[in-house]
Amino acid sequence: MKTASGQSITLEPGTLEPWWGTFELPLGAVRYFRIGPWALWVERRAREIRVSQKQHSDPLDTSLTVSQIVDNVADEPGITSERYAIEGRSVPIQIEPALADRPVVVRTDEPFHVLADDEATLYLTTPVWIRVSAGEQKKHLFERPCYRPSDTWFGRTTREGELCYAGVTTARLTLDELTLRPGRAVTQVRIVNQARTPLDLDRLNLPTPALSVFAAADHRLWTEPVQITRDSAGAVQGVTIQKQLSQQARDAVRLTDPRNQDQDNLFSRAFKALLG
Amino acid sequence: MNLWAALEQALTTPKLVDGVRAGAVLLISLVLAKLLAGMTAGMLARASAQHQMLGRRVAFYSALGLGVMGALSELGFHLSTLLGAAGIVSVALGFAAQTSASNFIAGLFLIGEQPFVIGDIVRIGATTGEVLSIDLISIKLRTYDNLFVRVPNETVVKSEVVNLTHFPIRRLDLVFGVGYKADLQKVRELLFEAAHQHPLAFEDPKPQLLVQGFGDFAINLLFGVWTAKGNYFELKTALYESIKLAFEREGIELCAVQRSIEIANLKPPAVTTFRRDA
Repeated sequence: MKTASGQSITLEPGTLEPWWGTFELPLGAVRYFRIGPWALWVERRAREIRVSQKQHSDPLDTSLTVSQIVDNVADEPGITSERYAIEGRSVPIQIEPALADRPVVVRTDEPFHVLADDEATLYLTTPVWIRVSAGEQKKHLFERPCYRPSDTWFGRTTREGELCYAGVTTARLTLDELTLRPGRAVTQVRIVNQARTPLDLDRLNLPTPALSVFAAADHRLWTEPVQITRDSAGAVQGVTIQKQLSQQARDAVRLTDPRNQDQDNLFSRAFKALLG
Repeated sequence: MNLWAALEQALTTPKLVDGVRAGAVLLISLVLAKLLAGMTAGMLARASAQHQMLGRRVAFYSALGLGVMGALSELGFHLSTLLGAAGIVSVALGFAAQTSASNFIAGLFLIGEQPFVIGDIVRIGATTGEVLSIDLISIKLRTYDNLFVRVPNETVVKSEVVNLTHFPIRRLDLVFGVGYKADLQKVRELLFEAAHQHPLAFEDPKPQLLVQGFGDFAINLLFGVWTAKGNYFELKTALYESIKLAFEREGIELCAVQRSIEIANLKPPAVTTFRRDA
């Protein structure tokens, strides 16, 4: 795999390579990307870029193809195309990951409990959004999720609450148990239960708009770790976003900043556990 | 008297001077009223569209009213006399314009109560549409087929008004029937899977399936799915389509009125032949 020079490689399942970066796109070239369940063809024509996309149905798809030169856009059902007018002889395209534009409410697939006066560290993954821009000035073309999660409502009533995305987690306690998936970012969640009763974890509201995206040495995408604390009185405190990355991502480099820089507001509302 | 002298006399007539001054006062007040209306709208920039419009109009007509009173004063009218006359005129107008007055009062109630605001989708009687404006006499709606509908405020106050977009989310109720031979457990699985597969259908609050009863021809079901208010119609169409496809794939019969006709003791019709003698 090569980014800037335009060589390409299709990877074996279970391995990760960086699909983000800058890719040269000479006139007449068609480049193909497959990032999990999302396929992209970028075609350079005279004074325009034609983008074709296809959304595959499996949200946990592990396919990864990076910047493969192909003759034409595939002739398959479900492909949609758009054209963007752009000047210049050689126009590089930039692809970068971002996190969801709304918080993600993650449910555990099985009831999960943190015992009294104990703590647990979970690893959750959420789908990434992909931003595509073109030209030396990185002119924005479009942004879309690798896989569009379902909507959900996070609130105590149907009158007040917040529109979020829904996710399901297997609440893995070790990173090794997580399958490598190119279109998802890992968040380490530390849950501290200081109360004298178990904490029944039903769902978590992960404040993804306030999180950054990092790439570790193994090309796995990470966010900042977050922590939630239930105090001795049984009250769930707000989220704290840790500035220091988790041990497994200590050498990771930042790829994108948070969408929402106003984190103070998020601290007060964005991360809650509903207690059974 | 030559022409010049006649013109000079006419231009210096006290009544004409008063008239010019009254006109000037009216003109200035009109300009000031417009400026004041603009400033009020600017101050209410964070308020709702309805409050902005109301504030702008109140500021404009108040300033213009003061200007009219000033102009009348310049013309030599005494305000106390005018107010007294206005009382008599208002009584006369009250009898002549009862409908308008009741609409006006209803409009004040609507503005105070605020059952909907500009931009909401409301159903009033048989009309459903987006609220374009809430005025003192009537409200204006734009229906889904882009018709302009004016509804008098009195009608709104007297009618049941359903605001379809008051809350951020709403439940989409899909009502249909399945045949009596259908496996209800399978029906339940297919319905929940159809909702789960569509990204606009909420995971939480969870969808609900209600068996409404045994009808004449089918088991009547209501499948409720929550969604954001703006996605209601898109989800409705998509879910009906996917449910129909899923039922057809699994051989589950959707409700259709069926009538079995059994004819007992059917005898061949009697045939009588008439012969016409030549």
